[in-house]
Amino acid sequence: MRKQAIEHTRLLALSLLAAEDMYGYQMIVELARRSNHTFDMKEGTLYPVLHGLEQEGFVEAYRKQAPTGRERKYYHLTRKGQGALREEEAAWRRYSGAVNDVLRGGAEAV
Amino acid sequence: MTRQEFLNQVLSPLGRLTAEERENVRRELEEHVEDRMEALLEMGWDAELAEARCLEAMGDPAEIGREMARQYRGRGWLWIGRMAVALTVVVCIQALLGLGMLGAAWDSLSVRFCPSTAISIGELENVETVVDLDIRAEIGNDILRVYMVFVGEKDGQRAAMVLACMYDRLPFGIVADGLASRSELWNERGGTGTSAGGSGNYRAEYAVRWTPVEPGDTHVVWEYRAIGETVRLEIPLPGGEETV
Repeated sequence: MRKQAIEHTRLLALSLLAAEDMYGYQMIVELARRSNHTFDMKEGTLYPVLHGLEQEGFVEAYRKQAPTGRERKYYHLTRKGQGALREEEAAWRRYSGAVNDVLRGGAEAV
Repeated sequence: MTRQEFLNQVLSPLGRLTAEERENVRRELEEHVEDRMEALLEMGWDAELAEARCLEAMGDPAEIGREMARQYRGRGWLWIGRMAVALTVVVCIQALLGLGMLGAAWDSLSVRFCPSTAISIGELENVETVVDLDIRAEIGNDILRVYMVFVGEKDGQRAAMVLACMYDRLPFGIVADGLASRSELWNERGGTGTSAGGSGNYRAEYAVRWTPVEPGDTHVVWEYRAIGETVRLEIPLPGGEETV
């Protein structure tokens, strides 16, 4: 169960970074905003995920001044990371599509 | 739990990371708390409550630390791999040195361009003069070269000390052994001193000999006895010309 939570945090992180380079806190805020607070993740658990992506070469980190005026650690999606995002996105769509099919079948049977 | 305690708990399982990486993790999490705190304070939260709320929102520090450590786990093998490569290189160099290959190759080159002056002349005192020389003789495939003469005092009497080396005509070639034991240094009166020492391997031979000299002596003679031939090199003494 936890593994799955981590896996989809990975997908969400990659997907957020596909639009622009972001730092951790910014990603949490953006995630909450876009999902209408559905993803109630523990904020600190994002960082092991980001560091894992960095180790795999899917993202690169650099320090830059944030709009708040303070320097923050930004993450950038690499080309390798874009490939990983496409694959994980496709896998997720297959998975959620299958779940939807089952749910629809259940609803029709009722 | 304070912010410091939280960070320490996150960092405690990260012993395998470098100090710099640990510092980066600490800084990043601290910055996150800072941003979250600021947002809460702007909303009018009490500072103490805000910090407690922030840390709660971060999650379990032990779990964050464990997960973080897991991300860097694969690198243990990376380091082992790198260390294995480094170790192999060191072992190869050691083996070459042990076989005398690298060391001897260096000796073979240095003897012909800058023969060692580190040879002990410790027993020669009150050194009056030191002169660089370049007197050579071909002996078979080898070259004998007298490269330095000292005049000073040995055991209370005036003496000349001469340094010579020998090497194969070709770089890295093998030289005949025993330069020190096959050599003798004579003064004008047919006197000689004992060997002052010698060293060598099969790429480079060194020898030091001394003989008593008197003021007014103009030269000494280095004699080298090879199998079947004897070579004599006359070595002018510094200052000898003036007294002639």
